[in-house]
Amino acid sequence: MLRLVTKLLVLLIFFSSAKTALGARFVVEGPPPAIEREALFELLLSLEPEKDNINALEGTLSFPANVTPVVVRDGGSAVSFWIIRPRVTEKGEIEFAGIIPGGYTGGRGKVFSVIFKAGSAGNGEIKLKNFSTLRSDGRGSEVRSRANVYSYVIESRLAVNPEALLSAMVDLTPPEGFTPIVGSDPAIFEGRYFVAFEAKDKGLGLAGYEILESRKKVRDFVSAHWEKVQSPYPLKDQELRSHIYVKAIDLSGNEKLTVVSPLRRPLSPVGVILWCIIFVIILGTLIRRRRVHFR
Amino acid sequence: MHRISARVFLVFLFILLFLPAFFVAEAERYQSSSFNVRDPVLFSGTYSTSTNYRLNGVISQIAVGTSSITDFKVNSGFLFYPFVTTPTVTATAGSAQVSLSWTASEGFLGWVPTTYTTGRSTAAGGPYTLTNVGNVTSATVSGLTNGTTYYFVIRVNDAFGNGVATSSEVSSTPAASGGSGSSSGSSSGGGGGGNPTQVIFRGRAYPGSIVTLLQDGQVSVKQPAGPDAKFDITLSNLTGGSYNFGVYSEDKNGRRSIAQTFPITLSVGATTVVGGIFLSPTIGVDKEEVRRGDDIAIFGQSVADAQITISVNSFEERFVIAKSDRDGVYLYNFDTAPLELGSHTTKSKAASSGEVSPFSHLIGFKVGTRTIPSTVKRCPDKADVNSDCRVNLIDFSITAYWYRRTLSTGFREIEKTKLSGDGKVNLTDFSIMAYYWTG
Repeated sequence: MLRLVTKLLVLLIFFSSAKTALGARFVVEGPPPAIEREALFELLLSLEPEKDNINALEGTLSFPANVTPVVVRDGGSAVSFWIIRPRVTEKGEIEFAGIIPGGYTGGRGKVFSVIFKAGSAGNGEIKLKNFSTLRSDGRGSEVRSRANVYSYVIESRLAVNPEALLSAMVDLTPPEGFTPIVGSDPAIFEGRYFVAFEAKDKGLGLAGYEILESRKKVRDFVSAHWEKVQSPYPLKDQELRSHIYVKAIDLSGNEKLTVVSPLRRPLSPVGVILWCIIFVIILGTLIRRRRVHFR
Repeated sequence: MHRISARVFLVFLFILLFLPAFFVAEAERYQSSSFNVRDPVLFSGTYSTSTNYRLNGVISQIAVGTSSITDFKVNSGFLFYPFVTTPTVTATAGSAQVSLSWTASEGFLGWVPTTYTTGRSTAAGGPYTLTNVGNVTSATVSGLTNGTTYYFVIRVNDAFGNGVATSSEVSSTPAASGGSGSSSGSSSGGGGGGNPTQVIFRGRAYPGSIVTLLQDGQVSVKQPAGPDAKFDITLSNLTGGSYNFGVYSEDKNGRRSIAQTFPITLSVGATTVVGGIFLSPTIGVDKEEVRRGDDIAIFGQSVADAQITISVNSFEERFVIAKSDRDGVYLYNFDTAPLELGSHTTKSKAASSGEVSPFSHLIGFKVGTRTIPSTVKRCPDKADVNSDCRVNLIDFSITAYWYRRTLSTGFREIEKTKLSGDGKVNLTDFSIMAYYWTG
């Protein structure tokens, strides 16, 4: 009986170690576990593909009530396109999903980071749940993945300079250049034209996008009426005669502006007059012919 | 009675020990009037021994691919020689140091890349000072002299420490902080000066093909390869930070290679070189379904005069060798007589100038009772949601719109034919899209 139990144990250890040697790993890293009350701390979520080529990932970061997320930073992320940009949901969790065209095979790559504010004294664990990683094989096969748990203790001692972490991070670099694409498809927006865009920021991360449509070239961008939008955005000018200005703004307020020229030529005042004259001539000719016919 | 039994046993043992000596051929005997052994594979003497076992002989097969059963598989014969893919090396110059990283080598048919050795030299082509760095894909070579050009290679080692593949050479010139180091591929030396943050991609695609460089998933550069299939793409004025670059190419018939990706962290004011990229061949077949016993043409493009190994996967994996012509085009008429009825897949890889490319895309065909020719496909097989022959941000946006939503009748049909076909939009559909991504 003892021998049987020993064999079973050996097999169990062997298989569990074999399991851990495969697949991808999410790494949740933070500062040393003892955190002062009111202090800000940064939690980094990374992906370690080990020997697989990962091209899609998703998950939810859950955290206790004694820490509050201040800001989510996706700057320098290994993820190229976000299906769900990391955001705090109504449930008080941070959800994310994204893809990496061609896949990611490198070492540990940043997914995103979160600045948390420590609340009342006590223990806590920040962990990833409902996570998955898919292999770049054309079929979306699931890769066995695992994640560690970040444990912390909030001490009763108050932090001396709680905002130090935020002020220490200066980002003067605007987001990278990007190319918005105009498209239409019966599957969305009832076939209306839309513009799709995705910018990358190598600094702290993106805050959002703003858009401006104008049939005239805009010279004064400051007083122009910008609209906060998300991609894809259904265009107001479905005739595609407007200049489309898209602005990516990072968390430090740095901006990168890109313009899409009108896909159809806008009508110039001279053009409008010419079209009016042609219309009047055609109309006049028709009326004259009708009069001749009735006579 | 016991004595008689003992004598019989001794005679039997004598026969058992000495009789095989008359039949076993010696390892050196390669010549014969009736056969000719070409391209034999040689291993080092210690290859077949360990503390636990010693290999005194090998078994072989009488015909290609007949040694497989469900419990084990023997891939012997010269067509089955094991191989590893050649790493692509990235070099970034720093002050008195050069950071090296490389793509993990992939082993096939028994060879397992186990460790890597960096080779360093101050002369192009070596000799190199070798350092085994273990099972890692990056290393920093420090203690270098600023302003001196160094040449690096990465050697792949198997479990016994034998070198089984060596990368192309890349060079890099470290420079003092505040200045900028520079790095370059094998074709040119390094040089100092200038402060741009830039990255250079060097490698081989197909003669005259268009090479596409993706920067974080978006098309950054499209550039033709030379008649010798070589390409050299420089991206300047970049911001320091982490990037995910991808390189792929299309042959003259619009078939694409696998995109090779390089996650790179660019240092401000430094030149990073990714050298020795060897794109996978393209691949196509002339029939969707082939009558069993008829030939199926497997073709594609790689570099000129490359040895192309084609794998056909059915119940057992079969290998054939083709050679590309001076335009890099290869063709092999594969006899389907030994294949079972049903679905099969094929893929190819190229070997040229001591480098081995990764495998191509996997494509399928059927062996049945009739022959259906393949239609010429210039568009991606999957994920091209809006049917514009590209898989890009537009397709992503359309699909993302339906993420976790109830699909409309129209989009359900698209999901069925162009994505996973499970009737919903989830991460699997996006993984398929990322695989077929063209930017």
